[in-house]
Amino acid sequence: MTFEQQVIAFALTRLPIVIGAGLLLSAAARQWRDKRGVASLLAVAAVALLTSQAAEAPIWEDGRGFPVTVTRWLNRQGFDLDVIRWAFAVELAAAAACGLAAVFLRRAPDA
Amino acid sequence: MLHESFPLPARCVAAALCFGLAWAAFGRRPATGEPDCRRPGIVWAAGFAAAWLVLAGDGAAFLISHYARWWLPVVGVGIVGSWFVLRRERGTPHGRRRAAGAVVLMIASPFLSRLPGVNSASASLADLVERATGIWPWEAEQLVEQAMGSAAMLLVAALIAWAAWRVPERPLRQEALPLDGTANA
Repeated sequence: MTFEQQVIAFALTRLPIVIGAGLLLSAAARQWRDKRGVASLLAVAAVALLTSQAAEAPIWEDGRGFPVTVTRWLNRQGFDLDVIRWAFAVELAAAAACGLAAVFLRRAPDA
Repeated sequence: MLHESFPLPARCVAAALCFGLAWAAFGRRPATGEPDCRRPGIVWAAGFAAAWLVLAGDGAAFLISHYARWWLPVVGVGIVGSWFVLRRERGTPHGRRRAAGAVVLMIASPFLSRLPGVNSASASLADLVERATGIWPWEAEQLVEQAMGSAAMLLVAALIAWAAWRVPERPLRQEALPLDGTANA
């Protein structure tokens, strides 16, 4: 792919994830002082969201100039491809669970 | 399977009946003077039975298919989250309302991704990307498919961030004063 094509691909597929993680992090930063538990859960959710989408991120190039992605690298370490994909899917679910836990951490004031 | 002998509209009616009857018998708040016969467990079981009735067949088969099964953990988290949304014992009302949207999106996104409207929209978007940049058609299709997933994740993340956003504490609603016939006498 040319450079412009790569930029468009990044804007379409990766930018929304980065923006979403940034929103979660800013929500965490706003209440880091007084509600530490909520803030750390939100920060963990943001980091888990980012890393769960890193499966196809290239880490380095092998000898023939071929990019080695995280999935390929883990596969070479001896993990099954299915296991790797399930692990990333579970990580995304863990991010969602952390976000929901941050919302529901406190008891309702009116209940 | 179920979907061959029991068409979808009939399943929806049966599910509504199942949940409605259970709620009427075990879920209503008792009127004054009526004994309290609420059993939340039975109502929840009926709700899950109703959801299974609607989903059994097409929906369940799609969810465990090769393309959608990676969404299963997220769908599970969404179902667990719906428990907290519906029970209304935790979280602020502001947070609960936004989190409800995120939960619905988590459960429904695999099904939404197969809607005909979404499919045609993603096809025309792939066409646009292909013509604008000269990416190979199959690469453009993959790109748009990933972009749809990213957009769904952005929506869920934004809703959760909005739900957990710090809002200024409002004083609790004052309780209504008891009606007292002698107050103005």
